[in-house]
Amino acid sequence: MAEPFLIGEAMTGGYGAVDILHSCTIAVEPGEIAVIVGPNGAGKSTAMKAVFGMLTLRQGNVRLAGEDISGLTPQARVRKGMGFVPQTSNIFTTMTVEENLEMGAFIREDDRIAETMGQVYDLFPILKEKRFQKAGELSGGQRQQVAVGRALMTQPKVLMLDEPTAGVSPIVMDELFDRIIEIARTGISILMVEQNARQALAIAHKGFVLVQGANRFTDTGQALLADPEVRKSFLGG
Amino acid sequence: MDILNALVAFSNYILVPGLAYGSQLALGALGVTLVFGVLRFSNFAHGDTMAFGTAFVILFTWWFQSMGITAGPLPTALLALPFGIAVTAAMLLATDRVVYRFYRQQRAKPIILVIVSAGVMFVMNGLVRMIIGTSDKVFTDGARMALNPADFKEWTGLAEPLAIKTTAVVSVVVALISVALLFWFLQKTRTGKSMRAYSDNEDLALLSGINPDKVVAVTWIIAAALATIAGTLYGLDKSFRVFVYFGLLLPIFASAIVGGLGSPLGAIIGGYVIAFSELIVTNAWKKVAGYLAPDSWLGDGLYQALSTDYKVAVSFVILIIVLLFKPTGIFGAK
Repeated sequence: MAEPFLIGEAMTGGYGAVDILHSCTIAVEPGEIAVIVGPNGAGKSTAMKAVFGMLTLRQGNVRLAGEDISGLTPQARVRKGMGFVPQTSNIFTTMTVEENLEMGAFIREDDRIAETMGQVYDLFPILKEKRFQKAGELSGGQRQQVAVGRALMTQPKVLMLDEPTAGVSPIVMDELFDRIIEIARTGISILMVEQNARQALAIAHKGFVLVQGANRFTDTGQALLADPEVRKSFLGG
Repeated sequence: MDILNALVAFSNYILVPGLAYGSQLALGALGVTLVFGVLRFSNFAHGDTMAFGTAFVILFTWWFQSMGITAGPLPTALLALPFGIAVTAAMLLATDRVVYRFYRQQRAKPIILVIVSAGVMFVMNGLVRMIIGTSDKVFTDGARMALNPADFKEWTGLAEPLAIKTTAVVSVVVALISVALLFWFLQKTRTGKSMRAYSDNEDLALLSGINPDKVVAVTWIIAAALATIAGTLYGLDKSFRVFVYFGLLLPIFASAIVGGLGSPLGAIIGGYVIAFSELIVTNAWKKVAGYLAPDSWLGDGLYQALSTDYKVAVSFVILIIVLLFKPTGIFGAK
């Protein structure tokens, strides 16, 4: 079987002396959506941060397109084509929407930044309308759009989202998921952590159910939704 | 006519000096607020950085004067400014390399950096005393008056002459140019925007590939420029003494805090608020009142709320009021 485009394999590690992840594996293919779900404290965000290099792994490695990137800093991984949207403080609140996007493109040295910005505005038309407004003055859903837009400005190959729908209304959540599907259709891999497991698995090609920092179930989103055991334990029946 | 005379007297004692002093404080407070915004600590060494920059401007001014180079009616110090700024920028970058960088890498708490900056303050204070001495230095040259009181009297026939010192005009104009350049830099250039981004959200700025070392270096260079300009303007307008500059730290911090630490616009407004408050409270209003009311009503008092010796108290009181009722300052920063 061909190696997945991005894979964090058998990752073991944590922030201090205590390991949070125990031989945890997360992978995603180009143009697909992979979702990490699980109960509170299962290490979902930690697993994603491990893939992005925000904590040191004691064992295991992370490979992007076959290249071992385990030793790279998060900044270097951004240059390799990974975009990351943190769960909180993921925008520059005192700067305008357009400046947020410009900062997203800070590492780019080509002259086609305006083009990418146009694509982001096509994806999120409301941002175009509010492009000269301070990002901090926007609603929760619009802020998330700014955050995702900022990450897209580097033209990443993988977009990692840490609970993109935390604290937004169900309608806004559906809207955001629609946009995420659109982004995946352009060939970008999406890896996201979600609290709303049912809705997230419904749009996921692949789902990773984590419990106590280890893989419990791994399957397609649909299969996980249909699995009676997963339903009983994690989706509330 | 008496109201006009009162207005002229008001301009003489409050408006013109207030605008000049306010511009100097605003530039000083901008430096403090910028360092706070980007490096996240209150830089107690800023007053002595102003003294350091001014000392070198004075040395260059003397050198230029000895070679016969002057700026005509304008102070020669304006020509010396770029050189003073360059030396001060080199000094701040060296200080950062030797002192602050260590604490930044340790991710030291802001309070530790504040104490560290107090140490830097003492070192700089000593350096300046060794370089230029502790006595009063007057380095103002060029035309003394932008508006000669005798001319004004002749033109208008008013009893009260309006006098505007060249240094007051220079202060306001140079401050305006500096502020305009600074805002253009922060709002329009890539480096300026990356500084704002870094100040807004350090982690996200790092994720976006913004180089923190460059942001820090640029911040120190701008802080050096602002401190040197503010110090030179103050020195031209009054005179230069190391201890006076050390004492300027209080009104400058009061200005920055009144406006909201981290907010450049707030620092400017704060500078003028503090300057005018100081002057209004410590001014003897007898002269202005004399034009508005008959002498017999006024009696012997000077109509002075506080002696000028207590002008520092004004900054203190405003500082305390702001911290009590609106700790985030007028423009509500961090």
